[in-house]
Amino acid sequence: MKPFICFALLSYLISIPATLAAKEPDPKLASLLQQGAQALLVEADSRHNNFKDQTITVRMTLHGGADEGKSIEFESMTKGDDKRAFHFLSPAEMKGMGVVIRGKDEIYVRLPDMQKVRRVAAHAKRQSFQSSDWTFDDMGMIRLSNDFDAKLLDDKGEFVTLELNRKPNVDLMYKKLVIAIRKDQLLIEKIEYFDDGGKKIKVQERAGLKEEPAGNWMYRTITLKDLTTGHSTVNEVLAVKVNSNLDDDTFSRRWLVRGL
Amino acid sequence: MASAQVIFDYRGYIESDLRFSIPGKDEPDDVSDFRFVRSDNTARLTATLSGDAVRAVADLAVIFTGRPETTTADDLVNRSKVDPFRLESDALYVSIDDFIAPGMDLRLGRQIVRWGTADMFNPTSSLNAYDFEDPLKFGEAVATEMVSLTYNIPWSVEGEDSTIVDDVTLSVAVVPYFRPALLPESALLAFSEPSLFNQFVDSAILKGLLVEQDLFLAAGGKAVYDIDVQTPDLSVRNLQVGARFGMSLLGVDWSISYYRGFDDAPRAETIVAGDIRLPKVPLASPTDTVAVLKELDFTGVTVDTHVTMTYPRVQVFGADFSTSLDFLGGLGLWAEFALTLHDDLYRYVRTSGAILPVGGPNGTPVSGVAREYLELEAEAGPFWKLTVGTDYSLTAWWYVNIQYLHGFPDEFGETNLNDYLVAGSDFKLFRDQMLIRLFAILQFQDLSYVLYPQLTFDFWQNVDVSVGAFVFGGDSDSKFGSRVTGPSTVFLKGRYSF
Repeated sequence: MKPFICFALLSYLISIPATLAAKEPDPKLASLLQQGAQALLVEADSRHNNFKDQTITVRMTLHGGADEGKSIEFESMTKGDDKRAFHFLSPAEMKGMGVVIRGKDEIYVRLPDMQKVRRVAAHAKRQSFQSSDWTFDDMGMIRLSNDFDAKLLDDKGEFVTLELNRKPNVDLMYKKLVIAIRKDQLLIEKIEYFDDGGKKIKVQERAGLKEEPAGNWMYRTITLKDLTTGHSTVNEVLAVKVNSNLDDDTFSRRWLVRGL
Repeated sequence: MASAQVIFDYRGYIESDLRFSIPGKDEPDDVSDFRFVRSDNTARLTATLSGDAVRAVADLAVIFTGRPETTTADDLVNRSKVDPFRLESDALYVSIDDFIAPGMDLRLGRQIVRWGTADMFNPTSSLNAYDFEDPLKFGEAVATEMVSLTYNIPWSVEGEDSTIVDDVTLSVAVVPYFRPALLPESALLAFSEPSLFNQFVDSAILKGLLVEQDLFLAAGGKAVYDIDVQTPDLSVRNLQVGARFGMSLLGVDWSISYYRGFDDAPRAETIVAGDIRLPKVPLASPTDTVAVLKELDFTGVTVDTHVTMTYPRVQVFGADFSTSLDFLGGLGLWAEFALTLHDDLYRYVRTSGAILPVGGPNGTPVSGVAREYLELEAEAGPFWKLTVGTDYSLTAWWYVNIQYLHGFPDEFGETNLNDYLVAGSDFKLFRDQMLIRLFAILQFQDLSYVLYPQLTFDFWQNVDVSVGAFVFGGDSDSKFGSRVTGPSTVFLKGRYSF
């Protein structure tokens, strides 16, 4: 009897930390749910972009297919909602390449071998980002609330599930997204992408949530899987810097020309 | 003053490029259809040292050509002849950001400055001469020593939904030394094979003289051309300058530019043929050239013709734009227009005079009259070149690019411009590890063409291997069918990047 009681007590003690560890919902959640799904989405967008500017170093590794294990390292700089810049560090054939994206349709590319900064038209956003499962559109979806209308699907368990439907006149290849927002941090941990035919084509899952020194929370590992091909891309954030007063110049042709 | 941290960075590659010619193009009878035409092996390094607002860039390539240049015994003990190589550099400059004023960037030294929004064919880009040496790299430029200053004007206007005005820049450049275009080896065939010279004849006088040359050659004679190239001297008067103003306005990037300098392709300014000593006294009058040429046998007789090539002074006014059309699915659209002004271009031509053999009529040698002409090759005035293009991604793996050209890069003068269609398509397969590229150029006037299929494999990190062909087609006197543009080739290239 005694061993059983000890075991039961031990089990209870083991279970208590899990229960205690059950994260409390964010204090704003109830109020946001009352305001509606869109309000919750806007808040989640703000939590993900809780900085004036951000510089991250990313290692992108491809899995599945003949390019298994191929990795690309780049620096990604973001300022506001509509300015992004990429500077490729490896592999060697991409070293020195730079991309600036402003707004939805202004894309400039620096290819060192070409001695020129070239404007790339918006159609190129359909192409994959450096052979990965990401497209330029995916990389540019900074605030989902700008392009999608949200509808509450479910709020049981640790996540709130929203269905996002593409707004009229928005030129994105995904008609619908289904996202899972963590109740404790109000951060998006999973995104399912649906095409115009309603077929689920991609899934993005985020892990390694960590509080950064600047006080913002960030997922350190993002996996995007293409359900059609079975191929996946894992983005690991190697370094983060926020609110470093990135100059607007970084998101200009001048920044790209300097690299030539 | 605290010392700034200096960052050293580099990139480079090692590349092998093997090509051989294939039949199908007009070639001299004694030339084998299949022969190796290139075996370049290149090691290239681009190094950058950068501090706070300064940067030094050095680019150097060593290219071993693989083709011995041994023709004498002395050459056999000369390594540079047995194993020749050359050096190339696309950049060797110092740049200073925020020079004198914020936003003002100065770049001093050897550099390539490309203006214009079009792909490869940029009629407004005149600061650097074209590098025509390698047809697979058409559109490349030769680096030139210059001073360039760009002022990024701190002016932007934000609208409600998007930026209205942004990226306003003013650039000026000064090029002290004129650098001519680098021509392909085959270009010299126009002078070593007189029958090819007629493809470049652009006046009635020269056309008439070429008829006489053909008769002379048919009668067993030999014509030898001696070419003298005169580049503009180094006086301040010959300084080349350029300026460009550009901005992004309502989603459209546009610019206007001006260049004053010289066209980078040479033209024949004087053609002086030596006199011919007739083998015997003709029955026809020595002044009736055609009759004399038809009557006599000129076997063993050589005419030396001295040609002086110069570079015409020009001013080029340019304008261009590029944009993305949302309502057409993000279709890319661009156009580049250049208006070139030049002075009157004269050409001095002296034909051969006929020298009668000793013992001519009355025992006295009499010279036939050499004719001299000063023809106006092109009247002072303008001509324009245009590139208009569009591109689109039909799918994530299929890309199309089409351009229309009025005036090829090597064409000069109102009467010498032709129209071209340049089209290409990329197919990316196996997650971009294989690229199939199909590229073609068609000239509308003579229907000659270029086909450029290429397959690139990128299955290995940092390495890509390409195989393809560069095929010329058309009549033997057409732009791309002529021997002067070089042979059709098949190539195999491999590159390791680091």
